Amino acid sequence: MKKILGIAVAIIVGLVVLAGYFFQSQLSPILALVFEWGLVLIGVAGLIGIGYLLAMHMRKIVRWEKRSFFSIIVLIAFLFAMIAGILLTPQNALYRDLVLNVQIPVETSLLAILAVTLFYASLRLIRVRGWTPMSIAFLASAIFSLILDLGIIQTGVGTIASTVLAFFERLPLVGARGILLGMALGGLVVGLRVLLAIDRPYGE
Amino acid sequence: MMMLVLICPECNAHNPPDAESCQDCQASLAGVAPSELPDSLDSENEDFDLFEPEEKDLPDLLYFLKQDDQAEDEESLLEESGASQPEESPDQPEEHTPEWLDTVRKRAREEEDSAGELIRRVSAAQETLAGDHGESHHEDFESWIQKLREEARDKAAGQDEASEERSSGEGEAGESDPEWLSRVRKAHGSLEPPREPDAAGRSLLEWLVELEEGQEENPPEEEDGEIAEAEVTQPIRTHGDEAAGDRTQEVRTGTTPAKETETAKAELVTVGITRDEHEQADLLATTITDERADRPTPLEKPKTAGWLVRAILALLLITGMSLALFSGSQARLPGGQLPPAGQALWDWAAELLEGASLLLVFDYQPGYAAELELIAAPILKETLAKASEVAFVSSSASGTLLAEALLTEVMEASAVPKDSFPVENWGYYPVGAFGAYGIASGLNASMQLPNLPEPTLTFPQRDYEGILILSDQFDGAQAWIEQLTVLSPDTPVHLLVSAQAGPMLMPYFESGQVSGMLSGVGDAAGLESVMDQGGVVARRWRAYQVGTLSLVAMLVLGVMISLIAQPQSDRRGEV
Amino acid sequence: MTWTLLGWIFIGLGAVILLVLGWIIKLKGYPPRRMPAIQYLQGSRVAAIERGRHQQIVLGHQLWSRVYPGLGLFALSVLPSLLDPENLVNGDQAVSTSDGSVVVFAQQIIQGRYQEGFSTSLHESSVRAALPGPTPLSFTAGLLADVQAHPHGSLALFGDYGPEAALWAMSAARRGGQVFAAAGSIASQAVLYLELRDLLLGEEVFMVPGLLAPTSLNLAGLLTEDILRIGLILLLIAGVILTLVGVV
Repeated sequence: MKKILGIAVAIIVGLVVLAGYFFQSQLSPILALVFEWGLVLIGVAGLIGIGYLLAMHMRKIVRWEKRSFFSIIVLIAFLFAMIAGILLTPQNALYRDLVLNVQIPVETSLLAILAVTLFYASLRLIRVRGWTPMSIAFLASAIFSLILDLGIIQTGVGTIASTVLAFFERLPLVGARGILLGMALGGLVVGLRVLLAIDRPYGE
Repeated sequence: MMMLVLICPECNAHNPPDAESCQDCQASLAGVAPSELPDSLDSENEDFDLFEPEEKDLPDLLYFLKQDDQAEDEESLLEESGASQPEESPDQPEEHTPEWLDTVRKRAREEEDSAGELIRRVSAAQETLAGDHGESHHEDFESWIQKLREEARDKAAGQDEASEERSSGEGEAGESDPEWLSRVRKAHGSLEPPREPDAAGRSLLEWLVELEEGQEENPPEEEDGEIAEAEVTQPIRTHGDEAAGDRTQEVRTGTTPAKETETAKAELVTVGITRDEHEQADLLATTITDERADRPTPLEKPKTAGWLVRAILALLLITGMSLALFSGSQARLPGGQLPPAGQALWDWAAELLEGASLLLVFDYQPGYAAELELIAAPILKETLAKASEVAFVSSSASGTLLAEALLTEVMEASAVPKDSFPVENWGYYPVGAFGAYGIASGLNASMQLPNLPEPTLTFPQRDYEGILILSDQFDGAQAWIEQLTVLSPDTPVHLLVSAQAGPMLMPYFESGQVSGMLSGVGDAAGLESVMDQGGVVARRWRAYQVGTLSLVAMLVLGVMISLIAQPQSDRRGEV
Repeated sequence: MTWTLLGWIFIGLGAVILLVLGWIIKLKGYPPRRMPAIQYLQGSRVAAIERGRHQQIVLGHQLWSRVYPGLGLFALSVLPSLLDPENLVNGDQAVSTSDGSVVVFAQQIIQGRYQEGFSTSLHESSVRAALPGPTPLSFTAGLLADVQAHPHGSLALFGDYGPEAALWAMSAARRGGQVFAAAGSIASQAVLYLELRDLLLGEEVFMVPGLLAPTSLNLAGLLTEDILRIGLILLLIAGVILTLVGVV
């Protein structure tokens, strides 16, 4: 019964949203209600996610797993930030500095590590992928795009060179659109599979 | 005439003296000493096998048992091996040993490990059988043999001439006969291995039968290329306690010609082993032995080299970019001009009238704050100086904090008092796309039901002079663009985005949905050159150029290294 | 006839084909593509169990996005195929995401699979859904800490994630783990192409359910997607021709 109820709710809501496209005037109140509930649920899901995060760290501490000392630090920092945010409010300059002066350097450092990682990975591209047409094309397009992005190549306005350059500058966009088309197609089939109860991402 | 051959240590095949690897199993023959073989044996076996063709199918157990049995009389056999003649009396059966047997025994004497694991095991088993407790191990086996014997004897049609000759032969052989032979003669008075009329070659079992009968048989001629595949029952003997009586084990060999008797043909329970099965069994035994052999543990490749390379590359990158950042010289800006999208945005900001109301959308993560502040700061300085009302929404977790920090910094830098105009915070939407859609769809409480939560935020119903979207991702900016351009089609929407989102959002500018766009440090540096304000962004742009060129150099260097170095092993899934 | 209407016809056709192939014909014989990466994924998971190493499945950062609408759902649809009884009992497998709704769905799927395989009264499984961080970069920090703490034998990436996946892959691979990625977003494809061999790009990722569990329904989805792909190609070519001719 529980399974059938979940499947039924998913299918009905999906069909209502789909039908709302064709019958907007008749279904707009229902659609608005559905979207409002959806936004609330998404917000709640965000809180649930925070709960999962806390539960994960607390479980590590209780079991005293490896590196659970850092979980203690995470929980202390979380509680501090939450209490300070409630008491001081995000508009408070001190609170803002406390959070951002930790968060920005940490995330920036991660991006810097990512940059070095990609720097090293670019050295090993051919060794990892081998001499395949795909890797050669990737290599050539990457080098060309990076050089174009430097702004080193300058052309006059309205010249043939500028037209050719504009053509090459658009090529990555063309490829990206092709990928997005494919992703949209795949997303369509995934959505249909959920509507037809073939896939049940809400659990079984 | 003796002929030198190399006997393969793996499969015992005969190979020419100059061979480097075995013709059968390709094992290396390095270090193998040549052995002498009589020409007669070699001429009969074109493939230089130790065994006669019909003996190839003899089970290993039979062969090894024979070897072990004769090991007791090894010394006497060695003395007589040189005078082995087929015409010798059966009283001394060891003198009639085939040449291949002599070769094997010689090799067994010379090489300690030539006996093989199976022989050692059989020997160990035999020693155990010969012990005080040997009898207990063969009780069940004895009962089975006894049963077979009874069945055979029940159906025997009386003694034939061969059994009488065997009896006489036994009497003549007397005490000089080996123990195993005596047992055979006792147990198999009426059993004679059948023999195929067209059997080829001389077999071990045949030789046993000959000994029992006390007569020598001429080696049958080998037929051209054909080996008998008849399934016949051949009795073989297992060593054990004499008191336990004769114990025999019968096995059917696929290619052993032997005399046929009615009893042997009809009633014995036998197991058929074809040549292929025998070869497979040998292969299995070899594989098992090989798997159990000790192997050196493969050493893991040290990974310190990879770590060192990463560290050196990181150091080079940081050093290069730091030099570019702090060297002090003026950077070469991209053509000294803004791209059309950036120019449009700057023109709008410069032409903005006093008392304008602006909406800011913050949709970027703290990690991209430095880049977006570089891009947004000049525009915000220009616009906030003229603004009378500013509202902002955020769709990232720290969006509110980032918005407050950026606005405070810009106002301080442009000497604009913070309370000169109201700054309204319209809140945080958990998911940018849903938030944008929620704003665009109205979110008004037209259908209010009891106990349902009210929509907390409604889109402020006023005309803005401009909407600025600050985003680090293409998808977040796209969602806001699509909703806001429909909700407020007359309000110009401008983008201040990171370099990774810029190319994907350019079509929105080209289609007119977006009025202007600044993307990345390059556009920010161009804007700085247009505004003619210092060189802070220009130095960062130069550092960006150094990093990009380094990346290109790494790609090219990687290609050169791959051309020189050996390809990696195909270890999928690993970096 | 407008392009929008044509699009709806396309969608309706897809629904009909999927319905017919999945529920009526019950397709069984459609041969999926041979993807060595999938085979290595399955092998790495078995090897991880045998070696006693940790397994990690990442489901991405968001359930739905405007640009990649199906990636989050796709990741959740793959999850049941990766939750076989052996992994459920063996434990030492984590399912991670940075989206609260995805983690709730994932936990529901895990519990459902456990109850299906064992007993409806048993809902406790050693395999758990986790949220190491609520944002992409905080998720990266949490995941990297987990990778360093537990030697990973297998790391499988699904769903909607960005270029920070390069850090996850590098961190797991340096510690001897096998990394597999189904990269749907453009940024993740670019960075992971430099690092991984076992990589699916773009719409290839939607073939994973059919390759991991070739049931009739999954194969029907594969075939439907292939048919729609051919139809889309033909439509694009037709649109270009008509535009060049001047009809449209």
